[in-house]
Amino acid sequence: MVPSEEARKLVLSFADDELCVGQNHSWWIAIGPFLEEDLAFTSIAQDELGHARALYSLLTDDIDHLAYGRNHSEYRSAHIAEFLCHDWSSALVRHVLHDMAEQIRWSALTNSSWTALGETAQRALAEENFHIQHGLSLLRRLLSSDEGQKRLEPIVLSLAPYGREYFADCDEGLIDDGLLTISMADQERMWVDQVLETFDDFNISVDMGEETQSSGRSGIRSDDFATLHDEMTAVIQIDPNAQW
Amino acid sequence: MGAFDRPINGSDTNRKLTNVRVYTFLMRTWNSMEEFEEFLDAGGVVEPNDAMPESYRNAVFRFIELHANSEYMGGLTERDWIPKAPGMHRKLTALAKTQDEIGHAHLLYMVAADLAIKTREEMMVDLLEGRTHFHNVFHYRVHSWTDQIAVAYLVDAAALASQQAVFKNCSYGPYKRILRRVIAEEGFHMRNGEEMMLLMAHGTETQHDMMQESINRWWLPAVQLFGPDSRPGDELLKWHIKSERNEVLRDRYVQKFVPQLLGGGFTIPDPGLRKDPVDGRWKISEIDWEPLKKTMRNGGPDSARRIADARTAWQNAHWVREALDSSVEVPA
Repeated sequence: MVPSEEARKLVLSFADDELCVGQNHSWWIAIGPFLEEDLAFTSIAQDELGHARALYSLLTDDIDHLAYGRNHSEYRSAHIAEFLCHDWSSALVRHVLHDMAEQIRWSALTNSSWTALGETAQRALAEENFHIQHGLSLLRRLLSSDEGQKRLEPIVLSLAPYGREYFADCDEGLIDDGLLTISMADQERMWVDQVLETFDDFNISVDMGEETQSSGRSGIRSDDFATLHDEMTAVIQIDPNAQW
Repeated sequence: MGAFDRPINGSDTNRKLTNVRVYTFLMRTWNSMEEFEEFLDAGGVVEPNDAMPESYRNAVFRFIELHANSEYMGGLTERDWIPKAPGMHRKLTALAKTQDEIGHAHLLYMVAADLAIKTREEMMVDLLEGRTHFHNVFHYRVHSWTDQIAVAYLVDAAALASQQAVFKNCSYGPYKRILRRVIAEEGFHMRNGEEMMLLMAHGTETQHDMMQESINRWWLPAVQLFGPDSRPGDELLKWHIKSERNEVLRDRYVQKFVPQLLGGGFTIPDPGLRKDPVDGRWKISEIDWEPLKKTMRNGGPDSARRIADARTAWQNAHWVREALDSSVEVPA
């Protein structure tokens, strides 16, 4: 039983973010920089899709219909999650920004008054620690080289501000109800601080901007979403009523 | 020093990211090929730090390198349709399956590198430059979701049958140990493929037609995976790297899969297919091996694109490998 409309929107946003990032990560199977990285990225893709599935299951019994069967404007994903990132450097930077945000978002839900959501958060948070460890250690090593710095800095500067949208949900009533234990504004501050600190170590000064740059939460999709959605629904569309 | 000892260069140990450690000491040696073959015939298992004959070392290496290349190219074959997999469950299983294939390649490249003929990086570069080979089935393009099913059902089953026959009596220890895991995982893939094939068999008319088209495309490549009849005196058989002849494996596959496909209401794209009235066994038409030879020389229908895609990805990520190899660990 979904406690409120605000709770439904919060969970749907999170699920859609995970769906898009999981789908995007899966693009990298077999074409990463080396085999160990192929394996790591694919594991993370599976985890993210697993999180999406767990979150959708709190809202519906028909997960596939909710995940794949909506009009574009009904999705609530943040634009940064939708970006295709078909160059590996962008995919790595998005992976780090996304997982830093995820760690904070799950932490705000582990003691949720919505018990099923809290249990999901506890399981997911355990996996997130591995994702962050993977992404950050790789990113730090690459940024410690001149070539890595040259290639990654512009991507960090352009992608990071979009990450603020992960926290653009309305939390009205959710704190009072105990569904969420850290306000969205506080989560965003924690994430911004962590991002700035991480990149400051490498003399990269990220400008997060005055306001969130995108509007995915309000139903406006990024340019990449149509491609992503066409791809994830390509087979289902052949016959949406058939069992695949 | 025994007859097969190799000169050892202590500085061979190479800890670059894409390479692995090379063994620098020897355990066992044999005085002659006859003595070595007696050891193999008695069920002896060779380990990488043994002073094995170079001809055996090369034969095992070539076989494992081909297997590793094929697992990797298999992953590339399947990746085209992973993003399109229908629904969350299929997407997760497709990802897990292809991850298994890449994991097999990873393990096999390390086992091959331990034979100290090529490093992992050299094997990858040789593959991407078209100097080495991979199994025929991964030179074809996956055109539809049901092609993906056919790969899991028909191709993985053929690969599994081959691997089981190697595992049964393999004389090279590290390969045999890796195969135990590979076979267990391939068994899941095949059953996953079978489940999806049956769903299409009993699904809508569109699904059944799509599956039939995919069977038409993949039946012959799958049967050809076993290769032409084994040559007399095949050294892979003599040295117990393989334990069964190609034609025996191919026939066993046909006996199993023809009834399954017919039972699903499908036809088999072989006008000469018949059941022998005397022994009751399914007989397939004589195979023309010439196209296979061309395919195996990287001249198959999708070989060029497949290799070029992989080469481009590898080259684009060159800076990542370089940067990691030259970087120091930065404390978290």
